[in-house]
Amino acid sequence: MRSRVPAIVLLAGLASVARAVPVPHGHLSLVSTDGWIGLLFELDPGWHIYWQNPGDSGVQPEVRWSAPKGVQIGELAWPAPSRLKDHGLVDFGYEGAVLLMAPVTVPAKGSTPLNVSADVHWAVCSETCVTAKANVATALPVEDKKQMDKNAELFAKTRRSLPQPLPSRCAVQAIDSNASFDLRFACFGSDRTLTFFPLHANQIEDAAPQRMEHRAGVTHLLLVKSDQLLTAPAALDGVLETGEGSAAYQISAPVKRIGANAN
Amino acid sequence: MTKMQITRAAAALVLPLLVYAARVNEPAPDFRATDSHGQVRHLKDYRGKFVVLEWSNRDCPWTHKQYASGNMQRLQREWTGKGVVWFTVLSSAPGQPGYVTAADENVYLAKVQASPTAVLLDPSGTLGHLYQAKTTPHMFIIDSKGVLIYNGAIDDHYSIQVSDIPVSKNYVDAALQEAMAGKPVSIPVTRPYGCSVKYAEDE
Repeated sequence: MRSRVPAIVLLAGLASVARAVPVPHGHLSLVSTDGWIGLLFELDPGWHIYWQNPGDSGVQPEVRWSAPKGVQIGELAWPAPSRLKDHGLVDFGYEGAVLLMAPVTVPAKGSTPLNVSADVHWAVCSETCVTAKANVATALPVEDKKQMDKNAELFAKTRRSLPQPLPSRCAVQAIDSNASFDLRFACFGSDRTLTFFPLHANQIEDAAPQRMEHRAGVTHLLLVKSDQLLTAPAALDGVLETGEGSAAYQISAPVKRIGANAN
Repeated sequence: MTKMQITRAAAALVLPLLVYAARVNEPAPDFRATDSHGQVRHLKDYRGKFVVLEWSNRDCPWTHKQYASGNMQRLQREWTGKGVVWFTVLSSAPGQPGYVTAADENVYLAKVQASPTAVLLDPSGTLGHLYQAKTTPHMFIIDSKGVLIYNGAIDDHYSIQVSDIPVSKNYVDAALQEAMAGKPVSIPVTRPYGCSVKYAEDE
């Protein structure tokens, strides 16, 4: 059934780290620690939000930041998602609690707290979908020592669940073989359960099972091509999960077309 | 064919006539489906005309965005006025959000002033699976030769804000304008966005 994403397990019990705003089917808060700011979604059981590629259905959350001059906020970092079964389709997203964090830099000098706010639009779905928007705010830096410690712990745990660069010894490549892509890695043991999450839509069938084979030290993950893929991309970009509690990696696998005897 | 097989076939509201995937630039899968007035619609009968398939679910906020704003009705009016055949398809399974009876649907169509050529009832999900319809809305366009020329989203703004509609690029408008002028469709595939199609859960 639904595989739990490590981030969600890790964040359980860290609820109410900041002033959470009630939102449809959960709570949302804007939290920060040194160098980071983030949106903490705490969802009611059975409800989910979406990853940056939502999969077969749904839409990804969007944020518009408002901050004083000199405060710079970077791109959201997305924890590895879960495959969520949905009427025979598969979506990519999060259940439970998830922190979408972004790096933040503040001016070196500053005596007054800096007020930062976020306009957030997202969809939360279960059997039906509800779209929501909220404005959440916080002051940088967080003055309350207890709050600061709690936030630091939350961010540290989430950072550990973010996809890491794939070690270069893995030598990932995607072999384009007619109806599927054969994603090959040179660095995983046969005990790993690999799951690939494509960053872009219409490259692979999101709902198709991903068959794994381990031969001669090479792990093959067979991904069924999307019917909507008109031309093979130069690379398959996405996130690779390597089993519960194990690291997730960012991958960009060059797509290579080789002869029929390649399999 | 045994009597039981005949009964089963007659009970199905949608019959795929040839099973193959809905791929852009390839012949669109043929089908027969029953509309909300009980008329059987056979895709092949519309050869020579452009056909739009619009997956819909009135309980879905993204469908609602298109109908509350009047945008979907505008598209239906405008393109059927130019000879396009427009089929709205309902693939919600019984008991799922968006499942409706034919009578209920006809009342709703009048209420929201929708004007598709017909609404095809697909509670078995057969037509939805044939086209691999994923979301509501999810749009398909078939050209006058029966070739699928567009598969994807209705537009490029996946929000539910009605205010985004005037600033959105509508892919259906764009594809029909190009194709009916004899030009290739410049954006033939996009990622559809919206609620999942509410097929029966046991699949």
